[in-house]
Amino acid sequence: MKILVIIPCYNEEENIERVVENLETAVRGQELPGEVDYLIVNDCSTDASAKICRERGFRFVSQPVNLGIGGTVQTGYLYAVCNGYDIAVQMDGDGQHDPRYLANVVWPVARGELDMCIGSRFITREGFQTSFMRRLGINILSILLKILCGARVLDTTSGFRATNRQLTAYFAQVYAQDYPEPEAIISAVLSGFRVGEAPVVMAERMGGTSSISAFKSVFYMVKVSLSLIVFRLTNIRKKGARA
Amino acid sequence: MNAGHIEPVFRVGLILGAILFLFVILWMLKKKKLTVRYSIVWFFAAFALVLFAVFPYIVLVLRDLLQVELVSNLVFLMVLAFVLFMLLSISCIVSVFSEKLKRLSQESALLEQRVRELERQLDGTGRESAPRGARGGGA
Repeated sequence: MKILVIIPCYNEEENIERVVENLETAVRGQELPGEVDYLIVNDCSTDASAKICRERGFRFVSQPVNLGIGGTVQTGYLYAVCNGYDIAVQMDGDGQHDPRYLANVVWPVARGELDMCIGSRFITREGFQTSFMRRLGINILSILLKILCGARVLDTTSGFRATNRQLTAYFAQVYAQDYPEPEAIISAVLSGFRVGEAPVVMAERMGGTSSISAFKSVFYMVKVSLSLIVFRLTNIRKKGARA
Repeated sequence: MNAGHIEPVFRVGLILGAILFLFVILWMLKKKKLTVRYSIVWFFAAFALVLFAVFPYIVLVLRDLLQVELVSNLVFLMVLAFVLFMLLSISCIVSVFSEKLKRLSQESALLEQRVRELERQLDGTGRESAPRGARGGGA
């Protein structure tokens, strides 16, 4: 089984080396269903991220224009499809996601129990639990998702997630651009994919700034809620259909 | 207030304005600032404007048919509806383009990586900076 870890990277010069090193160490230290490759997707960073990747000989692709997180992750999914990977794992480039929990999200997909397994920090409630306001937002989205498609997902905005071959191919075709995580859940569930969660522990980001500032968070909630509702209204659930 | 009568000077102005609009569209087409595909709807609009300016009678009949009190209100309504439609269609075009642009950038990024990889393989043993793919696990 071939596993690809997709690391979206936008201005992560402070973190990217550590993220890759941690990943390499973590991969050696745990039992995984197959070989693990990684791919950094540089979303037209304005800092030295690309230079670091080139000098350190990391495997990376560089987008010619800035596409945002959705388009960046999708590039990784496209790469996974083109190169025949069985499982694609999305893992943030800011060091929030601890690669020691890679096995947690990969195994349910490898065993065929789930089509998408999301690493959730709210199952065991260990590690960095983020601010109260963010948790509130995440909970609202969780309830909204439950109402709209019946999916029970606690950590709706977690970008630490593994997808199997079919769902990766689906995401390579259709993936939201701006704040894609919650929308990816509803679009997968409505297309008949099984989505679930596994416990992981997350850290606070090591450096740099989050893509979602306090200023943008209200806009974020409105945009995501609206896009979820619109998505539900304009899409019919495919009964047991697997893409 | 009684419509039906339009000052001749104003009417000449309207006709000239509408013709000018038509010529601006033609000029933009000639300069390739506008493609034929997106100019059609503007042509219709300009043509309608010229028609209304030359034969205001059409608008008067329309007003009576739709029972709008003032001619100007009807004209404003029509223009607003048209602008609304144009804006929506432009948003639509932009969305399609942004999707295409996204796909293009993604493919280009993947191709660039493939070229880089191939060049490295062609270079052979010359450089030691081989991309590491975090091989491992499984065992």
